[in-house]
Amino acid sequence: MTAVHQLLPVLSPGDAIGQAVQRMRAWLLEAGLASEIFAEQIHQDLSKEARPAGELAASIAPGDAVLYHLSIGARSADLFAGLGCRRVLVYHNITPAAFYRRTSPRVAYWLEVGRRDLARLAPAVELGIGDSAYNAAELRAAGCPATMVIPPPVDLARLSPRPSRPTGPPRLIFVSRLAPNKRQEELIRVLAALRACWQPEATLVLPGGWDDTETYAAGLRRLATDLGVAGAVELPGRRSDRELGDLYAGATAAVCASEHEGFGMHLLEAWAFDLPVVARAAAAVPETVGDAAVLLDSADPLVWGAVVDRVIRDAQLRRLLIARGHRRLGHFSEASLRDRMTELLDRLGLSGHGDRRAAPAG
Amino acid sequence: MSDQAPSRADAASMVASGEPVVDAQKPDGADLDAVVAELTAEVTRGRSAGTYPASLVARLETPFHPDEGAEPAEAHVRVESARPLRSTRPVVGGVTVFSKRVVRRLLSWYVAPIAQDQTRFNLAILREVRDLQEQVARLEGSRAAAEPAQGNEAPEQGGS
Repeated sequence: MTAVHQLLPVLSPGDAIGQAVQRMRAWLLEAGLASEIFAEQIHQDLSKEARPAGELAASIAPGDAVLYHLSIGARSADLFAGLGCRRVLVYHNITPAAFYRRTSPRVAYWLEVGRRDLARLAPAVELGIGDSAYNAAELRAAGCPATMVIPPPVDLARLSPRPSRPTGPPRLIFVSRLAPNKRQEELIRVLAALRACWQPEATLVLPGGWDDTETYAAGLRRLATDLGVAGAVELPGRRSDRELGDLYAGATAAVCASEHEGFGMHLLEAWAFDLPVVARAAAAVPETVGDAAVLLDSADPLVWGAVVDRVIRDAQLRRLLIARGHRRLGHFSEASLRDRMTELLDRLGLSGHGDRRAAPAG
Repeated sequence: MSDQAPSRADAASMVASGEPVVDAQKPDGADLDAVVAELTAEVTRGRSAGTYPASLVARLETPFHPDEGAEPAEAHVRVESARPLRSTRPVVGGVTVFSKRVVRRLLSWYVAPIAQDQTRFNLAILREVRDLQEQVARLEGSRAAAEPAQGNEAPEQGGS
């Protein structure tokens, strides 16, 4: 049986790439193909889901294909480069190292390695997959001979989505790791402007871990103090799915000032909770949101404040954004993504190569 | 953005000409670019008219230097093998803290030497880094001392 295996540096639960890898494996198995996940580091909770990367080379035959998930530099890129089978690069984008050079030199180093991996792997693979057109364009610019777009599979059910029911003052939310490219500091400025001019009781919650970005997180706390909004900004750290769901359900609007975003899963999460979204028009964000968010080119916190205030107060605008958000979620539905996976197998000439008897039920 | 939506420039000109920002042609209502253009224009007018207090405008421009005030590496050299143990949970908290203390004591023969080794390594690396820092500073000083003579030379003629 033909196999389509996947290789990645780290497989961990709650991680968007880890979820994508597991969903893709489920689809490949459903298509009757053999498929296993290989990773350099495997979180203990997922130890039964994957095998060590070192075992990959011995597990492939010449007709098999390996999908390598690239998001940061890793030793597994060398392993992938040396494989004697069909190779596909799945590109989740790599944050420009400049964002991290001052706050997290170690991360900056691995991001630079990742860019070098992209430059050498992209021209050498048969096909590149971007999880957005923005990422696919970077693949082509790096010399990838053929590309296609497969948005990341979305598992919103883990958050138990329900319409948000905020009680109390307006509460803004942005769910992402604390990182310089996410520009959480801009959101703190927006909150300061919003409270000073329009919504004096507004608050901001920024759930997300700060592994490797402790300096940035400490800077955010200092800025909130300097702007006089320390008591209105919450940095609760990494939260469980259930806790994240509760935070979304208690929010009034979702905001995103990211300067570099390869896709923006948090935007979809916000729509699932009936939250209107205000976002910076940068990187892949405009492509992900379509017409379902208010997009801003400006970085002026007063302009942001005025827009967020309008979204909070204008019920008609809120309803419109929520409705468009629901419609937009349809673009990332299971059925839509299944079509893309079928297209992938067609492009690899693997449709019908699987043994459908091996497919799991459902 | 949707294919049907006017560009941001078009939206801005609609606002300037007093056209409504709600696009009646769109089946589901407002043109979001026009809303943004309207509010941007409002803020711009407000800035010019002094609607926003100068102190607020200045405060919003507070520079963000995340690496400023960071503790020097020396503050993190020493690796502690024992962290403070506390709990806010009544009754159960006391038992938990006591149990952890016992486990810590039982494992200290194994953990403490590892922490000491790591501290020694950190100190050695830091010493090397500081030596390198001094050497770089000396080299930069020597180069700066040599540069004024070169600075007096006429710059090369560039094309165009």
